[in-house]
Amino acid sequence: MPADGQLLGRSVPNVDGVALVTGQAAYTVDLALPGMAHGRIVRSPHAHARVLAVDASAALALPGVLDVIVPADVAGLPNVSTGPLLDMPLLAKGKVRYAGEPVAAVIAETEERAAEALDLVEVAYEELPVLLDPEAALAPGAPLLHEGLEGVEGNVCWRQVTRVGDVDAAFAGADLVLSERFRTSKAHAMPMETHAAVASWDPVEGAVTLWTSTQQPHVVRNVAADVLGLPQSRVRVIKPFVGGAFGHKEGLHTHEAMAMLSARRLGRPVRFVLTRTEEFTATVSRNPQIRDVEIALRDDGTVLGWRERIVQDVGAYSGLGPSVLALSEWVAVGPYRTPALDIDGVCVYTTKPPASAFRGFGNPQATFAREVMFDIAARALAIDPLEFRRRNVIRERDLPTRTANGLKLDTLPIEQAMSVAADAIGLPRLRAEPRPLRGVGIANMIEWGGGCRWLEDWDSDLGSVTVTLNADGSAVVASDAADSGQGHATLFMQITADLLGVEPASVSVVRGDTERSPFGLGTFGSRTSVAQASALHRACAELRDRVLEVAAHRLEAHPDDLVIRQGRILIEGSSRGLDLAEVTGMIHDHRASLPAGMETSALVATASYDTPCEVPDARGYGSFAANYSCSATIAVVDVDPDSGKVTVVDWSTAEDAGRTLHPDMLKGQVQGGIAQGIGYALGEDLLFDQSGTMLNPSMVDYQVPTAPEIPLMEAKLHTLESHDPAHPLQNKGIGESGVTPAAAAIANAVHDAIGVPVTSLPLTPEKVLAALDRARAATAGAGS
Amino acid sequence: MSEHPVTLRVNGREQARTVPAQRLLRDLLRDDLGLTGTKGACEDGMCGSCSVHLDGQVVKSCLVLAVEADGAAVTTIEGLATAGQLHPVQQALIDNFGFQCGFCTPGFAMTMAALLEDEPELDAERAREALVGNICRCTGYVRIVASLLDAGRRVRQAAAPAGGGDDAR
Repeated sequence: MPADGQLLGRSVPNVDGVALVTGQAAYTVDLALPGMAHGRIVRSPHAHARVLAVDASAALALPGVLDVIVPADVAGLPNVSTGPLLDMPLLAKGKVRYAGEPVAAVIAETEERAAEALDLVEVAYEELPVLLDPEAALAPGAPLLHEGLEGVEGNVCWRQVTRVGDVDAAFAGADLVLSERFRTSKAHAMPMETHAAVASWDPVEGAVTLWTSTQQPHVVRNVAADVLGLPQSRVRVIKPFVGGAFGHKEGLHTHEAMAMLSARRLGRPVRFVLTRTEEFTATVSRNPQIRDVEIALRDDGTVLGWRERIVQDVGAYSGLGPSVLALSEWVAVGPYRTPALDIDGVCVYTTKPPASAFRGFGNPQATFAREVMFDIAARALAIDPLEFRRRNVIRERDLPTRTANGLKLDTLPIEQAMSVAADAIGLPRLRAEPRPLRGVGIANMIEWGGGCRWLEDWDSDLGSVTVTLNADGSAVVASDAADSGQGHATLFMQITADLLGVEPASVSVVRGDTERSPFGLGTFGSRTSVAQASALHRACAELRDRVLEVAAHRLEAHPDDLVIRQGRILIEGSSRGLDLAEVTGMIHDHRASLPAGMETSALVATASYDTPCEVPDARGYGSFAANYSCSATIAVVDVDPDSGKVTVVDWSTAEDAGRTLHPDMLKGQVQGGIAQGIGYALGEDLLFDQSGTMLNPSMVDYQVPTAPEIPLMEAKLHTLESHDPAHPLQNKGIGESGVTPAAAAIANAVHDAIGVPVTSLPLTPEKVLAALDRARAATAGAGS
Repeated sequence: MSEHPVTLRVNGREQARTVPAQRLLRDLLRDDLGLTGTKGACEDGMCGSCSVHLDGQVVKSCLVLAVEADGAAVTTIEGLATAGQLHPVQQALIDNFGFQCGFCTPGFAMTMAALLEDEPELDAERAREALVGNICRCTGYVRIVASLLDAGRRVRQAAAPAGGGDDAR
């Protein structure tokens, strides 16, 4: 067994590994309870319609159908939302606003029978005008989606302004002003496990248990308690293994509420599993944005000012769209010194499935606009794109500092990241040996970890952990964190074993259970390795102090002179000591062994960590997150001039980890994000016809990258150690760092390959061919 | 709805069930036999999460009817390890961190195991191409490809005559 302090920083085996590679790991969709019934959701075929009547009688007459929940059944229940606007009903209230919206729920003896009954629920609709273009939704006289909802003007549900520095002076004093319009797509997280939930009602306790594929067990519990009219103590949410989430599984969803409500109505367990089609048509996507950018430059490439107008299409319900917009503005400046910003953003309703959180949370959109604009500017000034960035990044010697809008930076090795990424891919050689239609693209980014504090009345950033040290010296860790593949159990084992000296294999990590874990917000926003891991560090430190106090008494030593190493508590520099299990045993069982006045007690410590960060002010100034990492990425692409197809042929990324806690799992996070970013760059986009019906709701038509499309980048990924002093483990959140710069790097590589920029995601073959035509026309025009 | 008797050997054990004609092999395995290691994620044969071996060939069990598997030998992820020993692809996936959420992992493992029966010598380019029928949304494939190459080395090593050694890399 490694000694004290030796697991963190090493690629120890994933503690869930054997369960995952042998098929033993149980996901929600694998659970079956005795007597379990099966639910399906009746969904609107129309993108915008009044719901005149819902008649369940024919469905209820079908043998095997047990129950149908119609809108009238839930009319008195609160709307649910992951965001600040409570605009989304559990089932349509008078109106549907996207094709796929839940209208009713059918529960039957089998899933097949529930599916058969869907069409028997008769819903009378009166169709209303469809609104697919967010700019059209802003126009006067546009049909309104949420009439009379507080906080909504027309179809605008949120305005976010960031205004720092003297932007007018920056533009007045510029040598060059450039402007460009950028568009990003409606990408879908598409986790491999679809949403699934199983609910069970206990009539004796008057309590419900929900097993669900979620990122936020406690948040789901609290909202569910509101919906069910139960105290939070009578709702238990258990998170089994989760098959990917990426922001997609935040908050309470209709199928979860329907499972709980119907379990209570029927007195039987009920399961809902969303089909892949439902995942696409009726669950959240990334927020598409239109970003109109204006940049003020000096001849030497210095960026003096930045203006942006953002129209963000949140779809039918706002979800986390407002905070996506806010964060998208607050990282717009990136890892640069740009001193003046003026950003006006709006969230706009359209009749499409809601957009909300998806890995990157506004940052991929902001990074795409900024980094592609920077390359346009660099080329206009005939400055190499890497050199252009070198002239504008926050320099090592400026630290600690704040960005123009107040992001607090203690460490930010962006200059180093650019050098490392350029060396890794051999940039000088690539530049020296250009090949036709091969391009090299650079993109830098800044990423937040934890935090995401953003409103005065919504400002907690809590992660919590309870550690139990048993009499035999084994430990149990229970936290609100909700792993969906990141490897939390392994990380928590590393921390616990290192701090308490317990046998690593004796550490049990609770997978997600609101009755065993203290309250916290769950897993999102690259926060778990900062928020919950810091809470765990605190809890372990408390237990360590208690154990060492007793050991010091027994050894007649001072606690400061003791170390815990390999299950032994030793006087530093000597071999004299005690087994950890002896001491934990005494504390539980043997009062006479304890210091005078100390009672026996259970060794349990609960700690929370509310990350130190600020709510930005009305100008958007403030450091909203726990800390910030950065990265530099270089993509190499080939463009096929006949098909317009872009192939990514090489890749390097240098990523600021703060402090690497587990090298292989960290790189895995970055690589997985990059692959999602390559998909975002080259093809992923939900498409709709004129009626608002989705055209590609299947894995056949919504194509995510497969193995041959991702270059083998392992040797060219590097992590940088910048040791953030603000947190106990000195690490930074990196979960979203792969995806964030990927599309920008690829777009810049395409620009480099063909000589004109493509400013709209995804970079489809059609758009690339059109750009090639523009490039040819420009060349011909120049020659005539 | 017509019901059909089906007899098949799953992970070495004879199993007999009566199933509706349209029942998928995937659902027979998951729902009737409780072998939930085989996953379903796409419903149209795209993702490979439901890959199993049917008479030694890798198939997507959502594209095979249970009645078509009548009389066949099926191996699922639950049967890949033998005598308590992980299959080389399983060990390689663990050692190379070739998984994250793990939902697609059984399908990848079955695809990789079948592939290595035929092509233990495969190189990196072939490894990438050979995994085109399986989708992973977490890892970006880099470490799955590394796992496949590592598993290939292990398989070759195991097959090599004593003292033959591996082609050291």
